[in-house]
Amino acid sequence: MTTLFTEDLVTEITSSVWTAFLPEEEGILPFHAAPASSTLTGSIHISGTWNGLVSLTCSAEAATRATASMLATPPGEVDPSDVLDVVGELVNIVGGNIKGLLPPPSDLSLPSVTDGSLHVDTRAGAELLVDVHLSWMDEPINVAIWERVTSEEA
Amino acid sequence: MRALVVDDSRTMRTILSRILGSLGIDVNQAADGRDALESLDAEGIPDLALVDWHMPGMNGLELVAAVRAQSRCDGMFVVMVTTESEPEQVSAALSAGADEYIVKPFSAESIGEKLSLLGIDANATVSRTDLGGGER
Repeated sequence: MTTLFTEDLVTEITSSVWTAFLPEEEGILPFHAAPASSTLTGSIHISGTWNGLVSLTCSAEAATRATASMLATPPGEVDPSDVLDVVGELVNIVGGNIKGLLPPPSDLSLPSVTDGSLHVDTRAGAELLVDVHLSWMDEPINVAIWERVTSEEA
Repeated sequence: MRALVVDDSRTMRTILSRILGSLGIDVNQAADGRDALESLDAEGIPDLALVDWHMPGMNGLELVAAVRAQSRCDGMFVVMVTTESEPEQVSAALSAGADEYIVKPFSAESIGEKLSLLGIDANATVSRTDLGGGER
């Protein structure tokens, strides 16, 4: 089942979300951008026939620019709470479309957003399946899919 | 024509309100199902509700069921706007009483097309009951 998740498909889903909600901006490019000093990570859990999480990490600059564009607000006037909301909604939509690839039934959690990168404890039974590094307006965007591996499967 | 946009994301409420506003539709907003029911009591029944699925507290599916249990809402169109794309989820939403279903990500054009399918026109006075949607 996990072969459903390919880098190309995750890139396509992410790109389609950006194109839909940021139509005035340039599209996502499938390249590594230079690492950012400040990042935000949105994550969302999928449970059911497959269990794991989808994370979306972007630079604080990319998150602010996306927020300004989506809310039609000057970047300098963006409210920090709106930046968190935008990152949460973006990972919600990316995660929801990834969930759509899975056989039912599957449930999607509410998204959560934190400062910095995601730290997943692989000792607790998590396996990184897909790790896609993208570039948007020269800022880094990373989408990762982690599978929760039960003790029977490990 | 008046609409209620129900979504826990302020960003999504803003985007949907902007799209509906461009179509000449007046919009109120609610952040979850409970907030939406309070809005119906306080502001009256709108002609249209766009409802997200995943929200804290009362989710969108529960809200649709609660709305369809009230005859005063028979004339209100309900459109789910959600990341849930599986046929089973679409079927569950329509069975609960949603009239249409839009999967995120969407475009302004796709929202307009769905509303046209329902016969919704910002300047018209058509209601869901005019189209037989309130018959149960």
